Order: sequence, then structure tokens, then C-alpha cells
Amino acid sequence: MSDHAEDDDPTLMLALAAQDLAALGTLYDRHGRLAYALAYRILGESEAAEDVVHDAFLSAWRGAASYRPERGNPRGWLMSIVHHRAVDVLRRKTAFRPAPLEAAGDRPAEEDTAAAAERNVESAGVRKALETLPPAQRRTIELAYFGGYTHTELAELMGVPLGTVKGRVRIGLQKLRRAMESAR
Amino acid sequence: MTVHVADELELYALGALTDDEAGRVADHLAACAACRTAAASLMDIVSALPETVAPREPSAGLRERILRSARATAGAPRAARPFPLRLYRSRFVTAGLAAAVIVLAAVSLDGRARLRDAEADTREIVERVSTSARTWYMSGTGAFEGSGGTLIAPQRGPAFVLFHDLKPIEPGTRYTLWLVSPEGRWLRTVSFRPDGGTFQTVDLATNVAGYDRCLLVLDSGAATPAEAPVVMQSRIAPPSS
Repeated sequence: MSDHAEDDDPTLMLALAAQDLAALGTLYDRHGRLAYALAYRILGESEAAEDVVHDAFLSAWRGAASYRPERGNPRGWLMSIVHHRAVDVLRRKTAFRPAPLEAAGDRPAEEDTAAAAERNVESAGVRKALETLPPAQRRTIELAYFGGYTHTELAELMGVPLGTVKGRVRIGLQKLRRAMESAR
Repeated sequence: MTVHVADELELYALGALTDDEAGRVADHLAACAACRTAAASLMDIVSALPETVAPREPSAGLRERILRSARATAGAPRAARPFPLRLYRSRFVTAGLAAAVIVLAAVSLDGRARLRDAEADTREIVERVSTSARTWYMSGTGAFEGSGGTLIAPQRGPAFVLFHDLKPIEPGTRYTLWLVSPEGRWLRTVSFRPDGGTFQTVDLATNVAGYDRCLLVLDSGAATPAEAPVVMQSRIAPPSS
């Protein structure tokens, strides 16, 4: 077990900023699977997804000194890096791309810690909140976030005006917030 | 008069703006506390979306690959500028840093040691990219592998290329950069010889609008541009909106 197994994420970030390699290993152990799952969801290819995760953790390693808690928790910060890089790769690869479908029957990642169990409950809560959205709002948000589409591409893909796209994401995110808050 | 970006924050948080639009929003957020607070609130919601994906297991070797790469960079000088987090990314910093990061990623470990001396050159390049810019990377092939160049097209002003590790060439030859249009029209932009530095900036004295390919060829003056050996090339993707 690494020296940092008991550290919370903000403490881990301080160690990362001090170039503690063991802290990077712990950060990966804690968030690497989710980072990979997110990259894979966006790119649909394991090799490309691993490259994105590699680059994202290297970016976190190099940029840890600039991390500020007011910008979000480390997990969210890291996933933001993964998302940004994965979408960049996706947009460079194709001018227009079909929305990647969720693969059926994915092998669940092995996690046996209490923290993992807690995250599973939280994940289920967010998934349930997303499912409460009207299909059009949910689909627009998913295509934007996981499909890497710009708002103009979404309007073309869904055959609706730009204003409709904006309205769907605005109201959809508002409803998602309320659903997540009421689930807590 | 300040133009707030509240109308675009949901799209920004989801990553559904173009790079130019996102850069404009980021520039505003850096200066506007009200919009920045609103954006942070939206990012809180969006940051939960990764939790909805199906779990997947990466390969067993990914962890060591990451640690190995980090070990290789441990002790190297860190970026002089703060890490460009999406919420606070400015086009100015991003375009220049994109060029520097692309170059840094391509340079060998030996080359990275030389980058300490070249850091001042990199800062100068970043300063030149004073407004939003698009970038395309060209990677040297064959005998020119290991060299590369980033074509940088600022929103205003002519494009330029930041080359790295250009190979020495025979006397009497030179590198020539050509732009090619979709209709097959060739435009010769600039000819030059490598100056021996890790980085070399070359101005095109034109913008790239209307062209969809750029090529660096080895020019001995005899062959036509289409016949000259290609050192590196890139497609120039049009703006997405």
C-alpha cells in the first residue's frame, strides 16, 4: 500500500505539486478507472482512451501546483482534463461523428473499498437523476458532453434551431441539479 | 460596455462551444466574477456526468506507463504559466501553450534538456499569439523524423510556423513552405534554411484561409513543388463554425 492511501484528495494534490510520484500512483488508483471509462465512452477505442488518460494524468502531474480548491474537487478537475482531451481527439479525428452508443454488458471494475461503495451509490444517484430528464433534454446533454458535438452541430444533428439546443441544455441542467439535490 | 456570457455558460460547461467561442468565454470569465460564479456552479453539475458512464477496466500496464512518463519529467522545469484549466482558459495562453505543448510532446528526451535554454523563445511565441489562433501540427517523416512544426494562424494577422529540431540540409538547398487549395492551387509562401536552433519561427506573410493543406518540401530549385521531397505536411481543417 502506498504512503498516500489514507490522504484525502486535496492532500494528494499538495503531494503531487511537490513531485511525489507515489501520490500520482495513488491518484491513479483512485480515479484512473473512471478517467478511462469516461475517455472510452467518448472515443469508443481502448487504445485512444488509454492515451488520453495517460496525457491527462501527465497534465495533472505537471499542473498540480496550479490546482486551486475553489475550482472544484480534484476528481472533478481531473475528469475535466480527461473530457477536454478526449473531445479534442474526437473532433480532430472526424469532422462529424455518430454518437457512440453505450456498450452492453461492460465488465464491472473491481472495487472492494468502502469509498468505492459510496461512489457507487453516488453514481447510481446521478444516473437516476439523468433518467428523470425528458428524452430530448437528456439526449442533447449526452450528445454534447459525451459526443463532443458543438451547439451548431447539435442543431444540425437533431434538426432543431440553435435556440432549442440552448434551451434544452439550460433546462436540462437545471432539472439535473434539482434531481441531484433532492437525492442527497 | 461589458458583454456578459451568461447565455453561453451551459454550452461552455458541457464543452459544446467551438474553440474560438470557448476561448472568448474563458477570457470573459477571467475578468467577470459574476459569470465566473455562475460557470462554477454549472461545472459542479457537469462534473457529475462522468459518474453515469459504465465502468471499464484499463489495461494493467497503463498505471506504470503513466508513472514512467512522470518519472522521466520529474526534475524538469515546470510550465512557466499556470495550467490552462478549461474554466479559465484564454485563447491567448491556450494557442501559444498548445504550440509549446505540441512541440514539447514531440521533442526527444535529449531535446527537452535543451528546452531550458529555449524557454525564452517559447515565451516570445506565446506573446505573438495575441488573439485567438488555430494550430495544426506537422510531423517530419522518413529522414526528417524527429522534426516538426506547428502552423499557427492567428485570428488577425499572417500565419507563421514554429518549427522544432529542423535537420541540417545540404548547401544550395532550402526548405520551402507551400500552401495548397482544395482546387489544387499551390502558393509558395517562404523559403529558408535551418538556423541550427531547437526552435525556429518562420513567417508566412499570408493567412491560410482558402487553403486546406500545407507542406514543407526540400527545395533544390530544380524540381517542381509537386515533385520536391516532402519533409512534413498537414491538412488545414476549416473552422467548425
